[in-house]
Amino acid sequence: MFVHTMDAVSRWAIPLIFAGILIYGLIRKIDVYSVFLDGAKEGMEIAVKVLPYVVSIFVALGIFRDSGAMALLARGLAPVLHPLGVPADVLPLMLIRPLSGAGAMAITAELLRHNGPDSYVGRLASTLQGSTDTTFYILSVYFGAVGIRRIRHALVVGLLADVLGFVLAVAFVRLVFGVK
Amino acid sequence: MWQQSAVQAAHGSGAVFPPPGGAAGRPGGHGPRTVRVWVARRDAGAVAHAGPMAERPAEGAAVLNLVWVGLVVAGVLVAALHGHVQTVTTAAFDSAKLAVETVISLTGILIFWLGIARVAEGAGLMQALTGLLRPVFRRLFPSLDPQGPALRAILLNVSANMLGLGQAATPFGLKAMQEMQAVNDQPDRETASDAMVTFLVLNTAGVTLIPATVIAYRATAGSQNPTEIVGVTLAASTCSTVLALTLDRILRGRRRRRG
Repeated sequence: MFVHTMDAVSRWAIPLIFAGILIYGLIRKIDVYSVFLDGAKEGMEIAVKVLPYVVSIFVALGIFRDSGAMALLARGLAPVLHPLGVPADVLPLMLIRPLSGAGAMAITAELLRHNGPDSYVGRLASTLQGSTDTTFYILSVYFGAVGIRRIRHALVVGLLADVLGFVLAVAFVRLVFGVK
Repeated sequence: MWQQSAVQAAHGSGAVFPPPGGAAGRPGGHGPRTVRVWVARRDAGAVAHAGPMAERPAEGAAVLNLVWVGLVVAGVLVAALHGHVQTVTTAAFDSAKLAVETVISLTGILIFWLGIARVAEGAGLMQALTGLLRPVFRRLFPSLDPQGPALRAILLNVSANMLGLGQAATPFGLKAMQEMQAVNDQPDRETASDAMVTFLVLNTAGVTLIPATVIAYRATAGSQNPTEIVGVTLAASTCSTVLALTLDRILRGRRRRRG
């Protein structure tokens, strides 16, 4: 039942959003196409800004993997990771995710390309990426903006949220899609 | 320090205002010689100015540096030890090429999604969502005035994040912090108030309904069903957020600064 619901949500989400938002725009009498183009124009800027991150991560991961280092790491950590259902491939992602949003996205993109988006690793990476956020970055920007230095339990809870997100992501992906 | 606009753009949020008077300890740096680009956006047009900055990497950057350099160096070492060091060069060139192809493919869908998001923003979808969320958020932030500017800004920030409108979310988030600082009831002005911590926990735990960029990358990578991960992502994200907020409530009383 849970699996079925989540599957339905996944299938309907995008079509409903596309149609819904555009219709809502018409109802509210805005110049839908023109506004759409305004937003769309920012796409190229983002692509240009993202490119260095993607290249740097793809190259680092490519070297790490093709040299055989990734396989070594996987073998070494297998006793711990295997029972948890965590493939070694996603370790860099888990490490980088709280630190760099662009870096994490690039790692996810690389894993999607290399392992295939519909593989266990691909789905897990996608879910890990979407269910957590860049903790250090967010904390530093928001607290820094008003000069707060003592952040109390914000970092602890933030990092715990990341860990929880990872654990739940692994659990749900295994539950819904099965391993491998 | 870090490339703000690039990182912002890449993980979906948009503009950042330069913090008043600078702030201490910014983690997430990307190397000692990087150009910092501040991009501030309001409704009309974009203002950007860039200046070269040479800085030591800040705290969080240390791990990032270690991991990234470690990946490359470990790869070179292992390849050398196994007697096929040329795989490093091949991997580098192939990966770089693949990276560019990936970004180019991605740009198409990204452009479309950004258009949709702008329509949502322009049509006032955020305001509608704000109305729905208000009762919940009054309970989440008991220390804030329910009609006050702080809660209003928080609602706008969260609504924008939920709709994947990172561009709009960050300015509202910064405004929310300013308003909360104005009513900060802590003994000194440099300690986070309860509301601030809750707000930050909410933001870092993630409130995005649709992981648009992930879906876009999946589609360009040739997925049969790019959106199949939406359900599990939403489930994991929501559960972790709820747990995090609960933890925040528990720790709030214990960690309050006294006197």
